[in-house]
Amino acid sequence: MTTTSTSTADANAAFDQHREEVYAWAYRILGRHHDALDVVQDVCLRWLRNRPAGGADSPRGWLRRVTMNRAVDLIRSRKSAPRALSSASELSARAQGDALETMELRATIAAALDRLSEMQRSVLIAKVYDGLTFAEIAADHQLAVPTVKTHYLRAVSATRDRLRAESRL
Amino acid sequence: MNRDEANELMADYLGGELSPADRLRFEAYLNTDPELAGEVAGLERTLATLQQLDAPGNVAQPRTAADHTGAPRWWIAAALRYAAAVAIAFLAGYSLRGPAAESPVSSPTRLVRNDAPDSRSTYWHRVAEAYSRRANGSGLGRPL
Repeated sequence: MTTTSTSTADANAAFDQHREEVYAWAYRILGRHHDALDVVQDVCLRWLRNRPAGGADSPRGWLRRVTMNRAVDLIRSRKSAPRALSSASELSARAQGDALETMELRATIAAALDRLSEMQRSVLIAKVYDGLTFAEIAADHQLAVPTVKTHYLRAVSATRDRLRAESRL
Repeated sequence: MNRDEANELMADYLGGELSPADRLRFEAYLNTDPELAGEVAGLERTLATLQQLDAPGNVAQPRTAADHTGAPRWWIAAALRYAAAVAIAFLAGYSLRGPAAESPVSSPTRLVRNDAPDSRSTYWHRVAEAYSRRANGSGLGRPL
């Protein structure tokens, strides 16, 4: 019991080191405080159950990948919500300070990220928002640096194509 | 530099990881290859667009008071509907008079029987409530 409590406490402490990052990753895509908090909580629970123990991902890499997956899932589920509910959500987001144009941009980018592979998504977020080098990202995910660069270019190209299709570029 | 070499350096250029010397060589090559230069420009605009998405700095702080209190706004709409219902019932009551009937409700006067022992304030309260329920879609149809 004590060992379990200690390991859970350690896992919580380890997650807390990255909590701000997880929130920021989620918020950039979702644009809403409560949605981002929901993702933080969800990711924390998954962390406590399935955190990497010497696997392919570093803790940060794992968290980034899972956070982006959950954020994209939330966007998808929001898309399938009844139109009236979506409108209420839009009004709420506007009331929370997200301008309509930013909301639309987030939605477009989220749609673009949804079409990327899990790794392309994680690499793109790590490069654009975390400012990591390709070598650091490669270490996060146990990948070769050229592979990371390929993921990056494909992710940026696919996002460009999506933004062009939505006339946002 | 040729196109193949430039493609090799593309990721590093966009990712800001080229050495200053390589960056100059890459940009010099772009001046000779308009097609690649156009592609690079599009990718740079994409990255600039992505960077427009910001995030609050502090997880713990709610963004607005509503985030913190979760104060619902439905009650404001409900209060306005109630006030509107009272006003409508008040105006309607002065113009519509007649014996109550057992038919389905269709006007304020049919909500209350003439011989009901209600005080005037209770009467208008019940009329207003009935209109409020109708506005909420729960429907009327049962005489009070």
